[in-house]
Amino acid sequence: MPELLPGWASGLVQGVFLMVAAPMTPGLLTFCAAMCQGRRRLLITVLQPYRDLAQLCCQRSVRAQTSSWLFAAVPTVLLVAYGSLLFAVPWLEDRPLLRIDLVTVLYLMALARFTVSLAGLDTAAPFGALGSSREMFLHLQAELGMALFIVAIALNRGILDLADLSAAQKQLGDHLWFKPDLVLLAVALAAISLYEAGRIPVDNPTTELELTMAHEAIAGEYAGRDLALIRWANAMRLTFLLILFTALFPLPTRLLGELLGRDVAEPIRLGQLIVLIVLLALWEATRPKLRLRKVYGPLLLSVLFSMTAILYGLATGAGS
Amino acid sequence: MLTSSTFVLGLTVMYGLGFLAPIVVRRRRFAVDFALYCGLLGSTMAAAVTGGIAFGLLTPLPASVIVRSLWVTDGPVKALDWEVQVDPLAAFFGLLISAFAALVAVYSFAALRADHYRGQDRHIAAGFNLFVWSTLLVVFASQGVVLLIALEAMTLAFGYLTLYKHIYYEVEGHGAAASIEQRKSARLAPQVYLIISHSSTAFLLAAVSLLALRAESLSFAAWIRQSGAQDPPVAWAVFLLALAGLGIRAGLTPAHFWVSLVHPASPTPTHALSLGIAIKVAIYLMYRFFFQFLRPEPGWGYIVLILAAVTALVNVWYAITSHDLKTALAYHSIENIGIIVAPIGVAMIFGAASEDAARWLTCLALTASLYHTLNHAAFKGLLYMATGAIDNLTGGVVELNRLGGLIKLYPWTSAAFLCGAFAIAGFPPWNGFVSEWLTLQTLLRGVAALRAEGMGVLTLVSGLLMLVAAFALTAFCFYKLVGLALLGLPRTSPVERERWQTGEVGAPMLATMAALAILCLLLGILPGQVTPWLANLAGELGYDARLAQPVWSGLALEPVATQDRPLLPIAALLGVAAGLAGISIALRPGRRAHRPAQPWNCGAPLDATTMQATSASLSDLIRHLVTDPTRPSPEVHEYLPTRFMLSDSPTYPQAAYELFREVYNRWFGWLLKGSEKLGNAIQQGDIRRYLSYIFVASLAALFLFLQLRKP
Repeated sequence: MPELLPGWASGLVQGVFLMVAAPMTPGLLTFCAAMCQGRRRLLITVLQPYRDLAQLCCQRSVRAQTSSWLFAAVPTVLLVAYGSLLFAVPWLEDRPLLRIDLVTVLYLMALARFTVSLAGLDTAAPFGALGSSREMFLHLQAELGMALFIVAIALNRGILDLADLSAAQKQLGDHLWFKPDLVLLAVALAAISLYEAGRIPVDNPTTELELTMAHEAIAGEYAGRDLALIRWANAMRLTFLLILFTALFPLPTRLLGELLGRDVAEPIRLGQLIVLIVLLALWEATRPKLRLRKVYGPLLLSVLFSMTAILYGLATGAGS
Repeated sequence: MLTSSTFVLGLTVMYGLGFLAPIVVRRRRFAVDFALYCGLLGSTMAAAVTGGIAFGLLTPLPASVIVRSLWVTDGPVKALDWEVQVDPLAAFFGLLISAFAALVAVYSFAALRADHYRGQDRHIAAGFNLFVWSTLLVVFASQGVVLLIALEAMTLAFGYLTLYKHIYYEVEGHGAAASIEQRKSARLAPQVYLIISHSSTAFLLAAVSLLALRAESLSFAAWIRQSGAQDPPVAWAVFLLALAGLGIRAGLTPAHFWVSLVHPASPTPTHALSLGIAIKVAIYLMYRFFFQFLRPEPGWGYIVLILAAVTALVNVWYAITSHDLKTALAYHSIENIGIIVAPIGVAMIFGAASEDAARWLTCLALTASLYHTLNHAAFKGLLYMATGAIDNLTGGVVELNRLGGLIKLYPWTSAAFLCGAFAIAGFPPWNGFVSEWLTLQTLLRGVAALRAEGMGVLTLVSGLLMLVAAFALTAFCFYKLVGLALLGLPRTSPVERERWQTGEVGAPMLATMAALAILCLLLGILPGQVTPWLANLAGELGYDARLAQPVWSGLALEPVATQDRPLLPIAALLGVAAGLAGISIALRPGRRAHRPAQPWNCGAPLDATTMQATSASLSDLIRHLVTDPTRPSPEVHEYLPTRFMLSDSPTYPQAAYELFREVYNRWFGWLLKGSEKLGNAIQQGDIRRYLSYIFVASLAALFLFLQLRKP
């Protein structure tokens, strides 16, 4: 793919493809969850989110009379924030359209969360306030963990730019998985991505009942096309986080290639996404739900692992 | 001919007229307007000249004598000529101050017509002029004595302004509507401010004296010449004294508690001025002291960085636990001071090294610090003006639990507040994002550069984590402020809302708010125009500016050779954002395609006064990360004399425990009790004891005279 088009165009094509393909991620997640829970497994479940979005687009959107122009503007802001992230992540194309660094990624996600939390307060209903204060609480933990992860990466690799970092990690090849500090950082990123993706086991993410919502409470007042845009934006966020992990910590391709007897680099990059989704579904299916004030488990794991990676790097005179 | 002394004299004349007019002239409305016009004219003149110098259109004005000393002494310091100067760094800060003052003057024309300023608008206008003049004099001072005099004048001017609330409550008799707690705070505010400011000036006096003794002169030029030639104990002493003095004045922890007490007591227009600007004076002096009068050392840098990071975190915490707009904004100002001072610390860590990489980091750090200063002036000014507008519109209500729904009642003011909130929370494309990004880049690159030194890296990492926590909590706090004040429905009954005005604020206030909002957006979208200018200013402090330019643009058409500089493709981000926004707007429902409905409240009718979120409920989860949910509220300690104490508020049981107010209370209480006891012991009332004092004193004088008479 990289050789077919000029520089920026392939980045653009990749971004658009990811945006269009993003709803398949929650679909695949639902399929794997169905497999784990013993429900009927139809492969068409993967494409179900598209049907849901189409149905939502046909419905009339409802806006509360107590809400303001902010409520109407929030789906746009979400789409812009999460969509820009999809244009910035290197996947099959090494040079994405936007060359941003990890700090900017952090801020774009913060912008999206901030705006959607404001939308929760806009309608004056108490459920929105409940959901959005919980969302901001979890976001605080996510930012702290992500910041420590970024510090560890800065110390260890010295590069913050996404494209450069992914290229450097790919250059390491399989040695990546033999370095203790990078393995620790992989686990740390996985743990903190749970917070960022909104898949902390506090509520049931597929529900729409008041008492089982934390994140969905914010979007509870939206309907119709507004809700379709928000659902799409959330799918884009999940896709971005999975691809970020793929870009920063690619699976050991040479080892697998020797086992299988052929060059598997490209299919692995495509397939790692599916592997991650399966793992996420398995993890979610085996976790009990937590109390909100006890949710800091993955954060603690992430912080401890990042700190250990930093100390390991300092002790061994780190980084290349 | 424009020399610095004629410039300062001209400003003195303008502001002096503005100060005297409200005091001397009899007709109130004319006097106040005249004073504000004088202030506006003076500030515009100052802004024009300093802007010209800062942008490089005019040559910097060298030091020139404004008052010549009458005699020359024999001691170590030869002459006491008062000198002033306008070099590019002073011009930058002078530009910030005077441009801001001009905006506040325009804003005050409408603001001071409100009812609750009726009795004191003369004093406020006079105080405004004095305050701006003294602040500009601090920035333009080029000699130690002028500096101290100007600092003292600033203290007295602002102390004069903090009397406003107390006079409003007690002398004019509006105190019946306020709680006892508010009246006590208003009474204590001037006292606390004067104590704190004078202690800060005392520390600076000590630092100035040490520098003057070493350099044998009081002028800055002599101090700069002598900066390398100090032995470490003297350098450390000057550093610690200057840090103490400037830290107290800037509000660094542990001296942050006075800001939230003092600033709500002053009237809103000058409140905007003081917190947006007077605190910057301390930053300006930090640049002078730590980079020009002394050679920076890494140890100092670590101390300053940790102090600044702790300040940021602690104060944003207090902002989250406060329940009204003005207190929260005051705490946020100090938090931003912490964010401004943290890169100064990083610059000091790397400033003494001689490798290119280290000096490049120093320059980047200074650029980040200066950028955040500029941004802070812009967005904090915007927020204060919007808060002042809300204050005027709602007849004095700024408590979050009594506001709500302002975005529909007052759309333009709310839009201004929203713009300021997004800017201060640091989101793209506003200016806060650029300076916070630069700060984080500096710290991260510092961590990467210090790879070998374990303790250094750990200090930087902890500072960085505290700053990131502060950034995240700032976003949370403004989510709370915007959500409670602007969104939703009003939380008071229609009867209590009768004092709320129905229209928007007047055009001058709206115009100034719009100007600042546009400035915030421009500073965020066009950082490429601002950074070279700021890097040149940093170069004035002795570092090479050309190395420190981040790369701002680039659609990555081909791999950009960044030469290891930080890269942020603003143009590309905006382009992609515009494209996506276009897609989403095309997909959104049209104007008639949505159905209005009531918000979902489980089928029950929504009662706006009792069912909405409150300030404590939104911050509940975060507050209980630190405090114990089951602990009762803190009590006032009865054994301390309560007349002069800053007591905790009994009306808000969910308030945070202010550790440093408690420290101040105990220290002050001990001082008072101790001096009372000493005074009681000395002035016992028995005349025979007083006669014995006279006898002992005469003996001592005789003895001293005989000793000194010996050759």
